[in-house]
Amino acid sequence: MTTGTPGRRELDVRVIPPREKHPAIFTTFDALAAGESFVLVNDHDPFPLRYQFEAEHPDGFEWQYLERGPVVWRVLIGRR
Amino acid sequence: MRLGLSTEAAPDVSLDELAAACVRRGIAAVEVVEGHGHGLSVRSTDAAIDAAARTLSEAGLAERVFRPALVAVPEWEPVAALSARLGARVLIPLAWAAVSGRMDAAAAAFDRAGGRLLIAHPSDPAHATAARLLVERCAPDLAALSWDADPDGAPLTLLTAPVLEAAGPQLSSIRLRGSGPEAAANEGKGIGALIASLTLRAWDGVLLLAPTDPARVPVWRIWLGRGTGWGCGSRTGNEDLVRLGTSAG
Repeated sequence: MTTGTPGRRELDVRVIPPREKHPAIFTTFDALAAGESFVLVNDHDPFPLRYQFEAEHPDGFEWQYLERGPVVWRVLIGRR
Repeated sequence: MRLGLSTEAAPDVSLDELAAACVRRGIAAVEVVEGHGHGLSVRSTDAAIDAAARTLSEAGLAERVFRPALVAVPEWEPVAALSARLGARVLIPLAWAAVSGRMDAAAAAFDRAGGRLLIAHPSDPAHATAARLLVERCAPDLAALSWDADPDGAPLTLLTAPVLEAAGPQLSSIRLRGSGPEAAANEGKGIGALIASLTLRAWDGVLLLAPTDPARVPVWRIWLGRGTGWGCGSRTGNEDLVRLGTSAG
């Protein structure tokens, strides 16, 4: 079951139109300072996004699964 | 931020079916609109309200909003009692609450019963400010704000920052029309920018999803019956279309 954590930045892309998802994710990431993070919430494994991060921000991001479905996936994405 | 669902998306289903659909979709909050298939109303018995509260709790739906069918001269006591018993905020439109004396009478009744209120304002910073001032004056400890965000109105990209600033910390929910299964049809209207902005503000409220109009309900029913979403286009095809049943059969 989905539960938000007070004070934690959560980007729930389940409600975002498909073509706006990745721009919203990278807008959020770009606004982070070094050491900051947000939690991406999705209804499927967002692993293709990781490849895009690796291509655009090699060694500049952190990727940690907090929840792996089957209903909701949560990934902590941080800026190094 | 927690994701919620309005019964406008499934107006003819029972509370049990609605709860099951919310579990399937990972939804953590619900807006119960009076007159829909769930059967809850201000005339419901205590036992019926308690049973509904149990059903919602078992589905993990801890955040609840009840939207009553308002009448010209309401009796606030049963509405406030339902709010307290169901553990739900009662949603009242700003245009209705702003009539002289109404908010004071509502606040007194809700204070006595232990209920909570939610004042809904449209996508206009001036209205958000008016709603916040009304809450601060009449019921700062038991009322909060809900923004009715409509992508078909003025661009959310332009409105998000001024509305969030005007509403301030009293903003506890946003009713977003046209997301979920309608999201693809609402590209470029600022939903992505709204969600990103809420994330960067570490907003901890409830985002309530609702259809743009009743004609869209069939596609919501299909969406609620599925366990997964439309995705971003990177996922392989999924043909598990499961239709949400209706209490009408």
